[in-house]
Amino acid sequence: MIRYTSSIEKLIESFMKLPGIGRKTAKRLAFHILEMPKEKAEEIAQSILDARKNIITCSVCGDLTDTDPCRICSDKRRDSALICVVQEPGDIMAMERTGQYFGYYHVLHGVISPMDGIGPNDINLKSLLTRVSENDIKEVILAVNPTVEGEATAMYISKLLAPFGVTVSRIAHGIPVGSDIEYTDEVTLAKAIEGRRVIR
Amino acid sequence: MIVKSLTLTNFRNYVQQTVEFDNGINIIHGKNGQGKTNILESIFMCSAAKSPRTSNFKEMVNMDTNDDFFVISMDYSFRDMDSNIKIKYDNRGKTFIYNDIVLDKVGELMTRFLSILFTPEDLYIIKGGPECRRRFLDMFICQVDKGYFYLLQKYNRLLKQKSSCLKADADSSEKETYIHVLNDYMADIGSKVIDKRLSVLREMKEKTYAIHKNISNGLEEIDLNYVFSGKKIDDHNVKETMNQKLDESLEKELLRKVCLVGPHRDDIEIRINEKDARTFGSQGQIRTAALSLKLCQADIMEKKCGEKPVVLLDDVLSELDIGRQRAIVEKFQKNQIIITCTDKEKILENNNGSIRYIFVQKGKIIV
Ligand SMILES: Nc1ncnc2c1ncn2[C@@H]1O[C@H](COP(=O)(O)OP(=O)(O)O)[C@@H](O)[C@H]1O
Ligand SMILES: [Mg+2]
Ligand SMILES: [Zn+2]
Repeated sequence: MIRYTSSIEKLIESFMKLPGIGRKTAKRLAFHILEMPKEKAEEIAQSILDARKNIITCSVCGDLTDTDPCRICSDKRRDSALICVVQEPGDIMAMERTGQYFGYYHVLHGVISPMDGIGPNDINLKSLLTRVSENDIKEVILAVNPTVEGEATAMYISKLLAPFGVTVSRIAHGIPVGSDIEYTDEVTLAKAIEGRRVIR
Repeated sequence: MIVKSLTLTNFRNYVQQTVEFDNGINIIHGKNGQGKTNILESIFMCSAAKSPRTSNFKEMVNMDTNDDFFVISMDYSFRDMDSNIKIKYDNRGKTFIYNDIVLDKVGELMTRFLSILFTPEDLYIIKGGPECRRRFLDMFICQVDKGYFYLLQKYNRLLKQKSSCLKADADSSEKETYIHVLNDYMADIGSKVIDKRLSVLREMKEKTYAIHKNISNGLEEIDLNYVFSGKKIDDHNVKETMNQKLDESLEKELLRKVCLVGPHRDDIEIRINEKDARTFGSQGQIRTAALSLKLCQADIMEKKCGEKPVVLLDDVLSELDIGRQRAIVEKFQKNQIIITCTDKEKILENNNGSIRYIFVQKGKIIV
């Protein structure tokens, strides 16, 4: 493997720490940055520093925010009986874009996955139980991804919530809009059948 | 189902080689270690997405060249439609391509091409450990039912998670609750795996019995039974049974830190004339039993998919007398057959149909 002078090498290795970035992409990014005007590069560096300094996790829902509690948690017009549990902060943005949900959120920051060293105590779950026990919550919607780990985490959460007498629901997963049943793989199709609803 | 031609690039001891096949009988011959089995292996991979010899794709890259990839490209016809399957492997991983469309899930390759492989290793289905019988059954069901492939994938993932959880350091109430959750989930998925195995096995039981009795000249009766956690079971309340067994074994599992209950531990009991074939079967009985099981699978495959699988016979005919050789070829007279052997004179003497001969030497087809 070709090694570059130490500061280039360090930059490449820094990029490689990001998810989904291998050495090849890291190298491309590093050289791209080195070829930028100096100010542009400084702008990027500064925005990383700023974000890191100013962004904190919301003490209520766990979302990333620059105010605590975050904007959503401080919005009193929302439906306080609903909490939607998501896997990652980015998922909130996706839910918000639908314009169909007006309750509050809770971010787990991952799902339970013992093979990756993530146990039940390593995700943001205790505070969810506190929230449910201290507030008048009627329904918790589990919007975690439909992977094996997501399903198991959802089952685990619903078990923990059982004593509180709240409704626990799971969002339906299925065929993407605009796609054809014929070309939908069986896993997705099976999910769609599982999540079907009565229309008559 | 007919394989028309096969092109191997950097696969095993082939650098770049195209092989053409006839609709009927094809005999690949040559000395040992020349690359005959490699051809059958690559064809079989197009139906199972796995090699019968290894789970490591890297092993199949030609190590005598500098390239770090291989490509298998197979043209075939299925219900009179021409199709192509490509399997590519390089340092980024495996790619499965059907008619130039990259399949996003391996399972999508299943049921697009059907083949059945007979090899001398089939004896291990009978005399090997339980894992040999599970693999034999699982590989077969996957080939005819891609839903089963996904089910198995899900179950194996759960299994990995549960073993990691059992091995994770401290026992805590959270860990135990989580294991209960996994157990419920595994009982659900695991019982579906077992249900499918049971239903295929039920079908195999009768057919294998008839086939085995026939090739043993009426002397031997074979019986197959599914064994869950050391006990024969039928398809009654599998989920409940598994749930119960998981509950019972939890303490032991926590102590030993391994998953002790589920389809990954099960077995298929094979009896010949009421005796366990694995321990008491003679060499001849074991060979006949393995052959019967495979022949039976060919029947089921055809019934389930409405198309005759390509029959791959790797070095097995030479072990049989001319009478049995004929019987097999007769049974598959409407299938395409690809046979490998070292001595072509000893195979199908005086066969009156036409045979295509393919001579292999050091990873090359010699014409
Ligand atoms: N990855 C590989 N690269 C190069 N040669 C290989 C590789 N794997 C197997 N071989 C060679 O292939 C030959 C075995 O081929 P095989 O088809 O099993 O032989 P046979 O003709 O006896 O069936 C051996 O010579 C072995 O060295
Ligand atoms: Mg061989
Ligand atoms: Zn918040």
